[in-house]
Amino acid sequence: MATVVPTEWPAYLRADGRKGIRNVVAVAYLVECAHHVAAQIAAPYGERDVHVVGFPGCYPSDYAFGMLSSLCTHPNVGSVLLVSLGCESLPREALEEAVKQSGRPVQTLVIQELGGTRSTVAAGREWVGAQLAAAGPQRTTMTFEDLVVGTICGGSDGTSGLTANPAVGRVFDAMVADGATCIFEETLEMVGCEADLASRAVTPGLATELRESVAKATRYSVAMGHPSFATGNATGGLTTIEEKSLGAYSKSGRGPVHGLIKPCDVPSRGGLYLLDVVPDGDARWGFPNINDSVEIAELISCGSHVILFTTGRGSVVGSAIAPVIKVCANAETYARMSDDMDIDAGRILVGAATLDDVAAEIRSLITDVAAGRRTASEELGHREFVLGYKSFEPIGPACHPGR
Amino acid sequence: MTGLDDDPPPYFLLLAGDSVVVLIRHVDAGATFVGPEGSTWTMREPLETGSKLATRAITAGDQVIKLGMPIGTATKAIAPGELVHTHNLRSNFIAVELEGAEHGNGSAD
Repeated sequence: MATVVPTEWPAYLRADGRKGIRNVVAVAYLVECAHHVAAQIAAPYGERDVHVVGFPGCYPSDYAFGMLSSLCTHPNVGSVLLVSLGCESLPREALEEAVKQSGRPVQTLVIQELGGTRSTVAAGREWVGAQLAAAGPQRTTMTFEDLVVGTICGGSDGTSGLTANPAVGRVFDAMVADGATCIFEETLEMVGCEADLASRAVTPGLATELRESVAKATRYSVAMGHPSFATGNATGGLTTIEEKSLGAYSKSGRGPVHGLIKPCDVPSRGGLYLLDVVPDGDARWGFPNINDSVEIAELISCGSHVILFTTGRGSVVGSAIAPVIKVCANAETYARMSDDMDIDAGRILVGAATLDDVAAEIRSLITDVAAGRRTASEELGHREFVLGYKSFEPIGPACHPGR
Repeated sequence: MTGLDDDPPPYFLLLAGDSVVVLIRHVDAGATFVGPEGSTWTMREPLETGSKLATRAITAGDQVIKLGMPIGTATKAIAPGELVHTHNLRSNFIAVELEGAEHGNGSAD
């Protein structure tokens, strides 16, 4: 199957020079108390890209501030409305300033100052309506060298590691060769793959950092009272822990690993990066990732324009800010839930396609989606967004040796 | 596997060079089919989807390779087409030293 993949497509040019594939109006609530008002502001614009993001916590969090700053200045975002209750601790002036510095239109509404829900919703809708009516940003063209792709798996089953995940791995190998930035994560599911992961690092210092990131994930998991990683849970023909982990790890492909990043770190050049989403320091914020949406938001904070989401059992989630492409590993799941899926990788197991066929199909769809085609989850209105408490130390110099 | 055969084999080779293939459907004892390197294999026992079969002769001490990555060390000689599982493969993984963490050794049944 010969699939012609375009090497250039239209994009939005931002004032800071970054290029986006969507022109989202982001409505950000700065504490849960402002969430309903933010949702009401966005509600009339269901067919348009008006996306609600936000942070529920009332206590200070450098991580949450960094995440909202990164997301509100993400290249897929064109303008930002901040919705504050008025007494929360997230510094709204600093956030507004960060967005302003990026050259985007930004407005802050403070519910307590505006007189409550009704007046704030009215003011918010007026502002959003004006943004949607305004002339769009400057257009430009984009190539693989401008593109950042993240990947995650969720609702996995025995087919995930045979079809969808290795297919995404081949997509990553091809896209890194084309100059793109590709990001994988899930160190919690990489136990047993440390040696292979370290062997792919471009420098010895990075190899050490990669090993330590998996060891940290293991420590955190044990501290959370998870059953430890044993081989007894390898089922469905799996024999060893490294073989079990290989299922998720295979999304990273087989190429060199160029760096280790943490949430909000945007790689400065193309390559393959491991995103460490497990908090640093003592385990104190509960489970590192309470669901897939937390990790998707972190992949987007690192600049991901689009997310490849592999699933066997059938997840339906999408995301605010960046389109999610669903790669379904299992043909039976695809047949049952095809409205929610973009790619049927299960065809591999019935001999109807090869891994290379499916990889080419995914690659072609990525460029179509980058050029504006809506994914299944976008069509269905999925805009999940979850942000909680975490804390990170900055990455060390060995983590980002470049190419 | 290149796909599109009328009667595709019941296994899947994830990456050229792998020392195992993975069964993609249940096979009965006595089933015969052709392995990726051309020899005919006869199953000695019924096997479930997901089971691994050796693509070539493996010597005790060899790394077993799936999708290009070592998934453990062979503990005895394995013939082409033979089941690879806990009876002849053990993990290379040495768990980091953690209180409460079990150390995987590939011996689970």
